[in-house]
Amino acid sequence: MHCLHSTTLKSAFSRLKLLPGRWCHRLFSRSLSSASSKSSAWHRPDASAAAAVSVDEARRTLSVTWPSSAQGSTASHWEAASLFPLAWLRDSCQCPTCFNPATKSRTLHFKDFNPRVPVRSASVSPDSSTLTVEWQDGHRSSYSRQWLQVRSFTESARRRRGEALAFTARKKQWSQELTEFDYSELMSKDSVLLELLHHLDCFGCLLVRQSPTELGTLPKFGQRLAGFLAPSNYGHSFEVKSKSDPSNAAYTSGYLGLHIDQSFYSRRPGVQILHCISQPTDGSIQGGESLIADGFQAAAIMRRSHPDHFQALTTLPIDFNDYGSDFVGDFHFINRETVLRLNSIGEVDRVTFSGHSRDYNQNHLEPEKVQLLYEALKIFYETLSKPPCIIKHKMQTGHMQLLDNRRVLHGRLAFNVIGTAERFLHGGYVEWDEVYSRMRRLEEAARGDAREAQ
Amino acid sequence: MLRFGHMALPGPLKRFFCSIANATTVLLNPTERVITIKNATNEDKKMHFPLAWLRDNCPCPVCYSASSELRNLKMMDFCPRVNAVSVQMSEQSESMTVSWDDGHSSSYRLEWLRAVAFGADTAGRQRPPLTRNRPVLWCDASKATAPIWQPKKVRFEHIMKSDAELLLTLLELEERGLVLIEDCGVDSEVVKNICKRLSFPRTTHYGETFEMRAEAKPRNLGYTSDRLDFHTDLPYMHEQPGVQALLCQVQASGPGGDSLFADGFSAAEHIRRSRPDLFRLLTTVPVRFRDRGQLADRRFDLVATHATIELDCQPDGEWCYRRVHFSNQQRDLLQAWPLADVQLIYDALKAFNDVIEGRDISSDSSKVQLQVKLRSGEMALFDNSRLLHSRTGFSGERQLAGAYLLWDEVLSRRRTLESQLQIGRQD
Repeated sequence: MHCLHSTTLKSAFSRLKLLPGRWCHRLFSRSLSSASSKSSAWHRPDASAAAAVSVDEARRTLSVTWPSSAQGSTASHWEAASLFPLAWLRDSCQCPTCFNPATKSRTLHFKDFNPRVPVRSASVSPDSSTLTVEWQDGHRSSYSRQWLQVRSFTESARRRRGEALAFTARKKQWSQELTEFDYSELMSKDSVLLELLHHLDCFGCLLVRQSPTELGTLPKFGQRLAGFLAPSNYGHSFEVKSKSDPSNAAYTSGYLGLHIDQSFYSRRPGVQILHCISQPTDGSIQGGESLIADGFQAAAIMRRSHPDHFQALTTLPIDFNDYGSDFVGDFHFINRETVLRLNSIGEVDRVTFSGHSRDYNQNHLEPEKVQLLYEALKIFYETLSKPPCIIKHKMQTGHMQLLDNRRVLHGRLAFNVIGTAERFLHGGYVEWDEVYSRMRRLEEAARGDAREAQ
Repeated sequence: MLRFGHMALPGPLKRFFCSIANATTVLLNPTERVITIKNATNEDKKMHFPLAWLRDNCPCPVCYSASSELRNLKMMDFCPRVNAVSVQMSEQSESMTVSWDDGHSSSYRLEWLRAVAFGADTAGRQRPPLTRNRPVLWCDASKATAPIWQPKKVRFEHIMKSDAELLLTLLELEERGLVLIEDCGVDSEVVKNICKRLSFPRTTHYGETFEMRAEAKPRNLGYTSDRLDFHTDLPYMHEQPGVQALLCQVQASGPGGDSLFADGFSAAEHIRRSRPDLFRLLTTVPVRFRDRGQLADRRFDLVATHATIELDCQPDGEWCYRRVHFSNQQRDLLQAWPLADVQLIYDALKAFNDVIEGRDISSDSSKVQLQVKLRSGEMALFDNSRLLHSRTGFSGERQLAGAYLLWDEVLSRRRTLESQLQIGRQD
């Protein structure tokens, strides 16, 4: 959790005394003789129009004004000046000593970096394609115009970059029907995989149909999505069928309330995949419908309809726990967290909720706050349990259900097995870091080049 | 305004023992929706039990599953406004029974009630030993002379065989963030074995375990023989694995190849006291980290954004250090910083680095760094969410193997060891 307050930054900046300006350097690139500027026939914007560069050591910025590249323009047409921080320019030097283009990472050592290294000179090449800065430490950096323009520090450019990174800007409300994807298309076509991952990020849930019913299907699918399945205290994957000695509520056949998996983990898996190896539709499995509920939507509804209860869910932390013995041996997990977590700009970015994993000991809470908290939990649950937040569906043999475990709660109605029929689900997780990584590389490959994603 | 949270370890929980024979009174307050148990001889010791919580935690077989030790009662069947019709204390059975207006009846053992009672002395508490112990800083900048701290050394065989030794090691890891394990052998399987002793190695895009050595075509500076900047590993993940095991398989025969560790929390504390303006930047400005590359046929591009120093803030204003994210190499070229703030942000990052490097801004600094030349077969087990690490340059062959673990799982192991060995504070 971190808080970004622009007022904090501004006040910090204003309190600090600015270093006295050492000098203010103005340097214009060589241009054609002034006589030729009177005749338009002489003007070729790419050859003759020169960029203007100036350095402000007091503000520690460099300003470069590029000539307009529009056809038939004269040297008097300029683009707006672009400002770049000097510290950033030095830090972002693209020469082989400072930067590795294969990994797009900085190789300049920080211990050798002086964030206040002054500029000795700055100039733009005659064809206005390259800005060159010579630093007082003897280093020389070159930046192409295109490279600089893509990294503009204007408010609009930063806002665009910020929006691309914003968490819930991409989140969309779902409809009452789960979107379906075809397994073999997913495994063979990158474009379909990318579409699925985008859908998962925006909507939080989807169904894959026609997957093979072998046990090894899930790890293969997880690998395709995100490189590897992420294990938990229940193993590299988990099987959901009735167990005679259940170490977890999921291993029974009773009703399973809406919950977020691994609520007792602080660092929990991001995507749950449930592969339905067997759930026959001939009536031999009674019940067993899957419930999935949109936690973000329910939170948004509560924020409007019950603001005090919403606030309780964002401020009163609850202890979630899990105690038992499984893949990791004996375990005892505890996680203290609010049901709804807000990010630095007040968006709900994570839900933590589980009836069966909510610890009995909650005495870190002030007793007067407990009633409000329980009411809030109940209202949240009721909101989750009805439209537009809930989807009920029955998994069929060959289905795979994918859920965003940060946002979507899941549950299951009780089931009853007739005769020798089998209800068998195979479950596993993948990490969002790896899913986003896959999406970035797929997008890059689809664009056909290694241009920086904006 | 941030109030400085306490850094000391929490004291042992006082056992509240109240004999039922001493005229215990029970009071049901329907308006406040609380049952209060009071001891006539000790008026101050009141135990409160909100009705909603009591109903939620009814221990009967319908509401609670003893076999899986989990709540059975479903939220959809639960009414947070359920009323208590009557409350009775039984001296004989040392229990309290509540009859509810939904027809249900709940019986609670008094011993259990005492352990989980709500009260002024429990509000906000951290429930030792169940939650993470507070870190003990390597150096305290407020003191004129800092005691020199040396990391704990344990033998590998001892840790693998002795639960008590393992527990002490984990407690040291929580408090100091670093433990050295000797005589591990040089097989990289050793790293997996240590992880399995705790839970399991946490796979990343670098694999289940990773190896570090100088390579002809280094994919990043780690794979060279250069001196490295201090950094935390995996800052480009939204929540990086918090524990790292690093085994020295081959140590450079010549000079150099020393491992350097620095206490990020001590460094943060130093900056907070000496440059609060820069500290504010380090705790608020989001820094984007990135790791882009290719391993075999897998291309990756992981991105995450964090403040350099992450604080854990409570609603009442109390706070503590939570994590440090710092890596010059993996700090992305693209950031979302406003133009006017950029110079100061760089000043703050550099100041933080200077403190860690020992080249800091005040003259009487205490060192937050530790230097150790690992021998072949020696392993460092350290807190990757708190310590920064690096190495000195070297020549010749040098190889390390490593893996990551989650704090969730390491803490789980610590809890189960404590309860197995019945060591430490009881809850």
